[in-house]
Amino acid sequence: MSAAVTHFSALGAGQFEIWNEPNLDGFCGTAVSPEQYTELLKAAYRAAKTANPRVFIVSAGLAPAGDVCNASACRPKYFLDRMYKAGAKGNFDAFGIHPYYSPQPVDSTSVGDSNTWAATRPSQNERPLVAWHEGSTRWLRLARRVSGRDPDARVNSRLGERPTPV
Amino acid sequence: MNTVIPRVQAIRSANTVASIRGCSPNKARSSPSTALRREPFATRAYTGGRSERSAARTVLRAASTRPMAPRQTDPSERRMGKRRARLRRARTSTNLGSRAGTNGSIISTDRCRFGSLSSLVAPIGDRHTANGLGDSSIRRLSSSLSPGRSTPRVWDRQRSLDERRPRASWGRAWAWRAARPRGWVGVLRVAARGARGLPWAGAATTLAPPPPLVASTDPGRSDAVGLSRSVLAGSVYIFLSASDTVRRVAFYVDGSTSEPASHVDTLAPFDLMGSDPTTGLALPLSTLELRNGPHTVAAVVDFAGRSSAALVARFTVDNEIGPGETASLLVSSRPDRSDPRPLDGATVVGDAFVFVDPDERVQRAQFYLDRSTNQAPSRVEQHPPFDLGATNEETLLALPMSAAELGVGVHTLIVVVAVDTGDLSFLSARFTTAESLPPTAAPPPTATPAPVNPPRPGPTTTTPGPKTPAPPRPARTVGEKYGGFSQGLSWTYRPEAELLRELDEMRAMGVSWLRADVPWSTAQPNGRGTAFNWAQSDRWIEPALDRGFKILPILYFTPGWARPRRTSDKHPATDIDDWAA
Repeated sequence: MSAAVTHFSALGAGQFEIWNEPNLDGFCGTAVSPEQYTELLKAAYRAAKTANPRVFIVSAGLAPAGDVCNASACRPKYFLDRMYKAGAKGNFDAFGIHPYYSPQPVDSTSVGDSNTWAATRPSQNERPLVAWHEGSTRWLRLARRVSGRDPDARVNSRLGERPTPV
Repeated sequence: MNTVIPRVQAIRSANTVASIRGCSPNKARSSPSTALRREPFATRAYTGGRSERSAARTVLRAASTRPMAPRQTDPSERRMGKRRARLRRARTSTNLGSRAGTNGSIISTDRCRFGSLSSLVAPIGDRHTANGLGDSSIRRLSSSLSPGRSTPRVWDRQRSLDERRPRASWGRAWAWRAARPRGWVGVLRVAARGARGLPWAGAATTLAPPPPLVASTDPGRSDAVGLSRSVLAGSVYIFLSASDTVRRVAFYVDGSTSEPASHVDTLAPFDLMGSDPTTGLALPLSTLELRNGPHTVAAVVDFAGRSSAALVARFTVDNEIGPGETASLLVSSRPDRSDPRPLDGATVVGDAFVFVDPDERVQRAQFYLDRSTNQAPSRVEQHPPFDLGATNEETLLALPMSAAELGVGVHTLIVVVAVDTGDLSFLSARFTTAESLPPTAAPPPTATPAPVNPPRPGPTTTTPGPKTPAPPRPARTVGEKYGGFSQGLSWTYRPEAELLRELDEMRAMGVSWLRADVPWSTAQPNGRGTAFNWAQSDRWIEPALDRGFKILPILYFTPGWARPRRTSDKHPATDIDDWAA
């Protein structure tokens, strides 16, 4: 981890994502475990920030899943909840989510299974879970950008502002 | 979604809270005599009590005509028991009706500013009308204060918000700042000379402070944060919480209180924009209608008894949505306006769909193609989406503008856009129509990526120093705002020519981000502590960075030696230190 960060941030990469869709068993090679992923994320975050404090760490993008949280799949909302319970707070700079939101718009509040973004919101008029856990409204701002009409662009431009490659 | 960002909130110091709220009921009860005994006043002596009710009692006792001697020196009390003496004091001092109009003084600790002294006293009077204390006695009480020279500074500071300036003749007054929190909140003292040689007659009151101005992103007003010094965006709900003393609140957004209020609310909670009468939900303030930058909301709060106070909160509106994200002219080659690029500087071939970048603030667009805005517009669009070639009302797809009809050459398009604030803004673009695209071998002109990376030091040996200057940012390229591509592992083994061509094509499309797997499993296949070889990932990362892409490498895949037997390479490492190494 620290070797990769050292190597790639020297090339000019400013941000890294840790793992991919660990809320599906196909992508974590074992039973889905938010706690295990959190350990992995924590270790990665510590190592990355030690290697280069200026890199920006994105938690693994979570995939849509049904309204379950078991060994084979875990809905992002539950997964995130358990990540925080396992102490993920402060161990990532941005929360990754795979916004497979079609056919609903990304800022739809209907918590359809296909809308991952909406699925991270406990319910209408509540803050997204990240904001909830972080106890900060800074995340709302990010969320608003995400929910704008051009989500990728906003997230990207947002991400693009932060990291300064070494 | 909307935002409220709490910055530094003015926090009342414990001292001030004590002086506003009162120290204890017991202290509050004994404060008149303390007030008489001690001058200059200590904070404690002037706390009126926990509630407005006890504060009122305090004032009425202390405003007694007969100056109360200190407890020990009152000869009549000496012979009484302690309890009897206290009861007697209470009886005599609350019976204000017969004594009003001589001397007394009012000390108010409040986070508000008052229009006049009588309005300060009035709510107390109203409370006690039932006890035989009418408004007339209050007026006499007020006017009995001896004239003085100085005007309280707390009032001065709020002069612009106050039409009803305090009369200087109300008495000597001090702005006492020891216990005030940051800002203009102050403790106000008005005192008068006593009649019988006692230096001061004093009284203390606290009026319950009005609730602060707060903002929420929720029409249900949940999770409200202090409005003062917050940063707002989108729609927000600004309100004063319900309070049993507040009857009416007039709100002024960025205006003087001498102008008409932007909204007057008489229903608690008091909303800046009012509330829906059926649901009770607050109506939003759209900060999009305010310019980005500092703004002020003033609330003139009318209390139950004709006194009023003003609250001011300064906040910042920041609806800035990042560079390159304001309304602009875009062109797409498809009727659904997908994959747009900026029209300015573009070369257009065949059917083109020119439109105004969708923006919720835009309400109308007038297109002037190759003509001045003095002439009639070539097209007026009243509803979004705003298309140069008109919109199919059914499908909302754009109708094409044929480059062939325009004629080959350079064209100018001016669009006058009406924004919902009533302002007009002008967008313009110069573009070229051609019969065919210039040879596409080279990346588009704006992309011309000179290698932007810093001279590469030896791999993995340098430790990044904090002072290392950042390399020049790659030039922003066409359509950069339009997202990125994600890829699995295929870039790690794709033939180089194919990979580079793909990168070039993506750059030409305006892709700005690339996300792909960076496998640990192949970088360190030989076991713990062995060397890393990132060549596989460098294959795509280096040319991608050279082309100005922003990349998001996914650190993924565990080598066989680091995970349990018969598990896939997606299994996390058994020893977390292997992963962290």
